[in-house]
Formats: sequence, structure tokens, C-alpha cells
Amino acid sequence: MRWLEDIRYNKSLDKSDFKICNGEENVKQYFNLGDNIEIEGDKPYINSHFTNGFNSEKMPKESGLIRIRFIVNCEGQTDRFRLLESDLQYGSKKFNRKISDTVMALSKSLTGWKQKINSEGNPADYYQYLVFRIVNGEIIKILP
Amino acid sequence: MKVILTIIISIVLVGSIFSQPNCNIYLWQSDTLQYKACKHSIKFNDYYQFDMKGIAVLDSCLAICPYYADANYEYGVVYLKAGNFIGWNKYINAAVKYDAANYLGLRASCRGKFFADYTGAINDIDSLASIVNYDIGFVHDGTYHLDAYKALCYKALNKNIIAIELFEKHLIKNSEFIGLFDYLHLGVAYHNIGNYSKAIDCFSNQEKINNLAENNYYKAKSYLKIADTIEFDKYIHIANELINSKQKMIDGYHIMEDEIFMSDIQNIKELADNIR
Repeated sequence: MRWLEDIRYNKSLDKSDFKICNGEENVKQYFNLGDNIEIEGDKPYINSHFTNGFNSEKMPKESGLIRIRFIVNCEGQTDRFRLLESDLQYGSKKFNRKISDTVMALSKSLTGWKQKINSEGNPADYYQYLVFRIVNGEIIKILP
Repeated sequence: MKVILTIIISIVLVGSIFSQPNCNIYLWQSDTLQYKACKHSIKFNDYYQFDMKGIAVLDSCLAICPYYADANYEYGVVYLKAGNFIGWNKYINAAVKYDAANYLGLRASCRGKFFADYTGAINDIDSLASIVNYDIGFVHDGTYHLDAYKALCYKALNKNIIAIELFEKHLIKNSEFIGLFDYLHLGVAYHNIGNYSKAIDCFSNQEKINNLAENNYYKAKSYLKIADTIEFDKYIHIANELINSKQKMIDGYHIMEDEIFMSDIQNIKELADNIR
């Protein structure tokens, strides 16, 4: 591992044809390349994408945080999605699969990720993440 | 005339305390373990924050002195920036355990800004206020005084009346530390409870301090609520001009509270057109 939190290719999880344009060693963090989230429609699009696609139902024991972290490549395509979960006190938790699978699927179906430009002036590959704050089975906030 | 605190926030990194640590302070306290860890930690500056070689430096620091709070904090910051709440929580909790006065405020604002843990943030700010007898200071990137940030957390929890009380108190108590967005958030809180004239006053004050697309958008929104379409048109036009010239709220890491986008302006214009 080169950087903390690097996402290495895993053939059981990742697309074999997903292209890292500038080499694995040059995948940047999203915040090192200008504005925070850069996607067509901005944050309102992300919010509506999950509002429309996430079938909220009251699930009293399903509260906590989910992080979906992934790579956006130089062409705005995404892959290497990884899931991290906790309860609201940042302790260990496994969400009901109905929730975590939906959040993952909706994250994968987001489109319109924009190119970010690296210091050499070329389209970069970068790590992006989304954090979902979930209370009683409902997404109440999407970050960052 | 009030002195307005101006803080450039967009490029301020969350963690930078290793830039010039004064390690001698630990020698004066006869704490040689913290002194050695502190001296070793300076090497962390040689690496990009996520670099495993830099992380190895932090591991060494903590092997020398597990209770060296700064190294725990820096370790946590790397996880924080990757959105890893579990890794971050482990290390920031250690930093707070060993140096609560310095790290409670930082944990508070990171909890709120990165994980929408507004209740946790409020609790941390209250804890900090209970253990220090000096000004509690600012959030991790300097954007807000912690008194204002506490108010913002209540607003985010939809407790607008408490938020207004705290913001108003902060503006009097900390008149030399008025932040770049304090009046904007206060105005939105007034708008949320239906006090549109107070909201408009706040947006006018915000205009004098830091005129942004946001204060003009919310001002237009308040005028629309009182059916003043002439003023609505005026301020939504200004909001549109400012957002096109990128004179808007921006943060390198996340979307800010009350930040707006072009679609917000388009949506409210359509709403206004339907009302006319």
C-alpha cells in the first residue's frame, strides 16, 4: 500500500476493464484537485438521486453511518467501490443488507462525474467518497 | 467600528499542527517521552499526508509515547479526510483523552462538518467550555468561532429558535470575531421561523461583510414569502450574477451549510413565476 486508504484492485469486486489512466500510484484525493464534489447537477442531483431511489421505511435499529468510497477515473467513470459502516457512536455495525445494498447500488449508478485536472494539466484519477447518515432506516444527510 | 474577522478558509488544511511544534515545552515539563515523540514527529512534514512513510512516522511517535496527543490527532486527520469515521474516531478520541483542552473543539467541528454529528459537536463544545476559563476558540479550519458553530449545529438540527438565541449572543459577546457567514446562517434561521423582516436585516448585514450569491438568494426568498416580487427579482438577479462569477460559499472538502447551487436559483425563479 502506497497511501493510507488506497483501494487496490480486487478481481471479485471490481471491473477488470476499469482504466486507471495515470497509474495506480497517481490516484489523488478529491480535495487535492480543486472544488469538493464535482458532478453534473451538483449536490442537489446527488440528494435527489438517493431520495428518489432509496425506499425509506422506518427501521428502528438501523441507524448509523455508511461510507462508500470509490475511484473516479480520468474519463469520469467510476469503480473500486468499497463500503464502511458504523453505528452513530462510530462503533462497529452491520446494516440490514436491504439498506447497504441499496446505498451501494445507487452510488454506483450516479453519473456525470466531472474530470478533475492534476498539476500536469491532465485529467486525473481520484478517490471520492460519500457518507450517509442514516437514522431509523432513513437517510437524513449525505456528505461531504 | 467592529473589527471583522476575515479568514481565508478554502485552502486551509485540517491538520497542520506539526509545522512548528515547540518540543521544548515537554522538556520543561520533564516529560522526555513526549519530547522524543515530538521531535520525531517533525519528519511527518517530509511526506504527503496520506503517504505510508509518513504514517510510519506517526506509528513510531506513538510507539515512543502513546499519549502524545498531536500524533494521535494527525493520524485521525488522515482517516477523516478519507471519510473513514472509524479510524478517525479512534485517534481523535485518544487526542481528546490526552489533551482535552486542545482537541475537544477540533473534534466538535469535525464531527459536525464531516459526519453531520451535530449533537456530538454541541456536547464537545459544552465540555470544552466547562474545562477552560479562556475563549474556547474556533473550529478546525477557522471558519467559525465555536460559539457560532454551536448555534449552527442547533440550526442544522432544526432547532432554529435556540440557534437564533446563540447566534445573537455570539454576535454581542464576540463582536470582534464575527465570521464570514454568521449573519447568513442567522438570517436563514430567522427565515425558517417565518420572521422575514429580521431575516432580511441579517442578509443585509451579511452583504456588508461578505457579499455572496447565498445571502442574495435567501434575501430574495424572504421577499418572495412576503410577496414583494420587485425586491425578489432584484436580489435573485444579483444572486444569479454572483453565482456565475463564483462569488459563493465554497469549501475544499465538503458542501457548506446553506450553500446554494444554480439549480436552487432556477427552481425558485420557476416557483416565483408560478405564483405571479
